[in-house]
Amino acid sequence: MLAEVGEPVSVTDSTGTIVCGSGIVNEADVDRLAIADVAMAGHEIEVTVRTAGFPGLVAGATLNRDGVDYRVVQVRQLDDGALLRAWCARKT
Amino acid sequence: MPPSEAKDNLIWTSLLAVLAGIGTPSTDWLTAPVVAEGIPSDALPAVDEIPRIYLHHSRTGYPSEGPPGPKHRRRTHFDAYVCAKDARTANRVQSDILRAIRSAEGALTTAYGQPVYDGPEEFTRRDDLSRAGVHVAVQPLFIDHETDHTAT
Repeated sequence: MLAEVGEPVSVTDSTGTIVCGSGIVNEADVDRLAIADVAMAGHEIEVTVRTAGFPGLVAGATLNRDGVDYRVVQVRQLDDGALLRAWCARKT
Repeated sequence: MPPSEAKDNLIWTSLLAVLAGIGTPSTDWLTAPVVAEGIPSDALPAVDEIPRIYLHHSRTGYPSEGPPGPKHRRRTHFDAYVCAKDARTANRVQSDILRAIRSAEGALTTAYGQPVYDGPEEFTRRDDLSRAGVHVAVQPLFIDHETDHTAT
C-alpha cells in the first residue's frame, strides 16, 4: 500500500545518514488546546512509513518531503510495530 | 467630547509595546520572540528557532480586596501565550517577560497608576500542541487601575 499511495520522503538521522523511501502523509489543522474560552489549533503533519525502512526515524530527526525539511517531534509504532507514524513540524 | 479609548485597550497596547522590546538589544535578553496581539484564529504556525508571544486580554474584574468602591478600581487580566519549540525555550521567554514588565514598572505606573504584575495564576505549560511542534505555556499578567468619570 505504501508503494502505491505513498510519496517519496527521506529521513536524516543524528549521524547524518540519509534514508529514502515512501510514506503516507496526512496534514490537518486540529483543535487541541482549550484554556478558558480560548481555543488553539495546531497544524499536524503525520507521516506513516514502514518501520524496517527507516531505522533513523526518531524524534529530533529531519524528514524531507518534496524538498521541504521537517523536524520530527514525535514517533509512535502502529499495530504490530510494522509501521511507524511520525508527527512532524515544518522547519522555520 | 468624544469618549476616550477603553482603558483595557490602552493598557493592552502599552503591554504589547513592552513585550515587543524583548530581544533588543540581543545582548540584554535570552530570546527575541515575535509578539502579536490576540489568539490567531488559524492554526498556530510551527515554531523552530524564533518563539512567539500572543498577548490576549483575558478578563476585567475587581481587585481581590473587594467590590468596586468610590474610586472605580478595576483589575484587568491578560494572558501571554508563549509558543516555543521546547519547554526550555518557553522558560527563557517567560524569564524575559518578567524582566520586561519589571523594567517597565516606572512607565506603566506613570501611565496607569500601577505596574503590571505576573499572576495571579501560575506560569503553566501545556503539551496539547506538541505533535504540531508547538510547546505552549501561559503567563498570566494583571494590572490594577482606576477609572474616572470621563473614561471607561
